[in-house]
Amino acid sequence: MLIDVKGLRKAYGAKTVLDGIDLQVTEGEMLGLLGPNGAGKTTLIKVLCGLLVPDAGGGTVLGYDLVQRPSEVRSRVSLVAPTADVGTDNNLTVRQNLDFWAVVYGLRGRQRTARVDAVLELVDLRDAQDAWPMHISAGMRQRLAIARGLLAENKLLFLDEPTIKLDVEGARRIRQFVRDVNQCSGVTILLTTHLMFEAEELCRRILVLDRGRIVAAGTPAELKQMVGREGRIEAVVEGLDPDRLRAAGYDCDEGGTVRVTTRAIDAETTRLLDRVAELGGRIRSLHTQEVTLEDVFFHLTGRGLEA
Amino acid sequence: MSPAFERIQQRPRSFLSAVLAFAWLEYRALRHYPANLVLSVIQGLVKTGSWFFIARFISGAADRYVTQSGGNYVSFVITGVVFYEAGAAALNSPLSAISTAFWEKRLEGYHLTPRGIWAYILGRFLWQWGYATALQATVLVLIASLGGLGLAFHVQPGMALLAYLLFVAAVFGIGLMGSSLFFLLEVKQGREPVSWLVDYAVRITSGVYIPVAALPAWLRGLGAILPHTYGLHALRGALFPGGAAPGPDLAILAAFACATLAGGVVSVQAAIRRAERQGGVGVVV
Repeated sequence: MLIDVKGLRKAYGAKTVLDGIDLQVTEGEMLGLLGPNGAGKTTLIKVLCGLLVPDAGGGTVLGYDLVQRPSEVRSRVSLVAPTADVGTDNNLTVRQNLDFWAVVYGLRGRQRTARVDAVLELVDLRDAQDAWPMHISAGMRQRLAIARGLLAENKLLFLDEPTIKLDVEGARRIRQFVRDVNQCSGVTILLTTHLMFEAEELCRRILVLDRGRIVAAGTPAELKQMVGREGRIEAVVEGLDPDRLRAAGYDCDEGGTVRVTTRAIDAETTRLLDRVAELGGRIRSLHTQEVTLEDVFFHLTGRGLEA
Repeated sequence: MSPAFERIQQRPRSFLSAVLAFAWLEYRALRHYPANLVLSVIQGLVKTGSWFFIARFISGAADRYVTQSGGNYVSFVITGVVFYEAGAAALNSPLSAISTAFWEKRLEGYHLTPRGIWAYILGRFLWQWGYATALQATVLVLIASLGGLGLAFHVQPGMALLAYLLFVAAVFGIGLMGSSLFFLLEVKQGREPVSWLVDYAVRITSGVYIPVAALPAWLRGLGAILPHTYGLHALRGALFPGGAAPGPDLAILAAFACATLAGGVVSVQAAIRRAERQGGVGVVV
């Protein structure tokens, strides 16, 4: 178990930010912390990194006691902060930035050069290695920040909102890259985000955090089941009498619109398409509405994630 | 390849490399903006040069107070200003390091590396002190070689170097203690009270511009608790003919250096620990 903490509490003055957090993370896992701004995601990450001492509770990270030996924890984890510019020196080129951090992490000589080369390759910044950070895109600067986190070869990587402020393409590349790091390098990743699709796309397990509490935990599918309602399929069918569709067991109005509610959207959609084709009709339009993590969050808290 | 922390623990040289890397970072910033280098050299020359003319103007009346230090009043003031400036770099460097990294949101990043904040504070100190020393040495040599001091040096190099290093170590320790107030008292802007008080007390009581012998007894008492007083006295004794032997001052400076460095390390550690209990080293509470 890389992270095993219980009852973590943290308050800033009168405001409770973390309220009894229990968390276990196993090696190789990619865990998502999902919650709106102010839910306590960043504070939880800082506590787990050893940057903040909890007011109550405790546990171990990488086998080191979080309260008694936070410096041991700090030295063995990597954190990529929400803004890519943090820690990047604009007076150094991309490569010089990595060289500098490699020295700070204790790498020397040929070992340092090899590691910097490998990381540049991994984040696809080799062509930009001599560029100034101010002259590259926000997505490239974010990759540089992640590269810095990977230099130390720590087993545990914390990514705090890694795609915030990035455009669609930049964010997509970062997600792909994060997936590769987890799957190919075996690095355990704890990722915070307030984007449901990002958590769903990247993480096998998600914790939903609200007002300092974990309100739900599970796989994306398990979380969606908590909502207790089904997804919807709506199809407009041409060339078929509505009665024939009704006889086939579908809810169909006089205009030929078929409505299906189901927990298995994909399978049911395929079945509908096949059945309509068998009956000699064709689909003019098809619309599906799945249960999303946004629905899950709303179901659990009565508020949206952007609140 | 072993993880970062093991590498640093296994090889103390890696820690030294990290310190030098932070010093190199400061050098790169200066190299990126060379106009800053030219301006700081000019500022150094103007500052010491203006004291040179003031000292020459009042030298006749003041010479009798500097016999214990050797040399004359002009040499007294010039060495006072030069070493005060070099000491000021050591005094102010820890707070400027913590404050800069905090406001540039880098301090947490450094805190996440093995002994990162210490490597950073030492690296920045090394650069700022080394730079100030080179600058002030240039000014001193320039004025001396133009005959501006009106005397020949009688340098005891070993004594002078030892006095200078002990003086800087003692002052750096005070700077560390002062910098801890950034978190302990949440002094997030302007100067913290320790180095501010020491700075002003030193200028009046430690023999920077005014010979200690010319001060009333109560002010001399205040100067006696400042390492600058012994540092400047020892340095002048090791540089000028007729100065007092620097031995006793060196012993006191060594005691100051041990006490202030220990106090500085303990107080900075306490400050970081307090910040960790509050909002962290990167957040305004």
